[in-house]
Amino acid sequence: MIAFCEDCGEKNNLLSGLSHNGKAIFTCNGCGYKNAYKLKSFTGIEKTAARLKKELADYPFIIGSFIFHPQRKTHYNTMPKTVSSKDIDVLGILLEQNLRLGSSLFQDIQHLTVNIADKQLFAIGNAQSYFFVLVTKDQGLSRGLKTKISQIFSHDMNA
Amino acid sequence: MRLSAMIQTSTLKTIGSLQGVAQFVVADPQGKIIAGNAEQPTRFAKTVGICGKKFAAMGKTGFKYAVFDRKNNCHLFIFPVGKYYLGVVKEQNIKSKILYESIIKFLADLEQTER
Repeated sequence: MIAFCEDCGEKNNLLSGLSHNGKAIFTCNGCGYKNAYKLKSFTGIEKTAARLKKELADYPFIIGSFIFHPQRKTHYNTMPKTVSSKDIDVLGILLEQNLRLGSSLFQDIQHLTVNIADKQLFAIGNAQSYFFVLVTKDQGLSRGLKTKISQIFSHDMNA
Repeated sequence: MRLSAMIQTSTLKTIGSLQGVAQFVVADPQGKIIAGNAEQPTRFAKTVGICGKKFAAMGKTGFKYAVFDRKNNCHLFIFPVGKYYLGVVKEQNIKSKILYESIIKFLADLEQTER
């Protein structure tokens, strides 16, 4: 991704300079200025993340959630601090790969729920290749909650 | 589900007659078909085997099952069965809970028979 320096306007190629909250954080190759500003392309994700955060706040069985993109990695992370960002990326990659594999067999797949020990992992993707992952305590995922997430995630991200 | 590697194929074939099962396949982690009655068995087995392997990588021995929800209500379930994975397509007009319970009961009976 190309980002321009706020100070001198120099083009900078950001391979690993994006923070998880959608900011471009980098030291300019041209003038050495330390940039840290929000990227316009993240506005849609942030809007969706804010809605999800608000809507999911009243569910006590939720352990955490995050929005994942295969290239841009993780955004909006409310997972417990004991789960490292590397683990979240691995989890995101595995869920994304399985959703894609499942969808290659049946094109009408809407979302995926994985039951592991006493936890449930819910994953849903959208047309822009973003994936929302929700982790709850066992049996915490109702049909109503899945529908609500599907509506927010699909609607906002496709807007 | 801790089952030995040598599950009888004839036993696995009875999965097709369980309540709520429209199609099924039992596959190894590479997608090789062990048993099944699916319409597209090769692709189905490949998906079930590879997905099952990834779910197991996520959950280690804690992986119970996964469900791909579909618009047509014929959801795809994946269960670990010993060193294999069972993929089941649910009948359209039956509740997921009924299918889940019949599979879990079958697998529990299978495990007991193995002992």
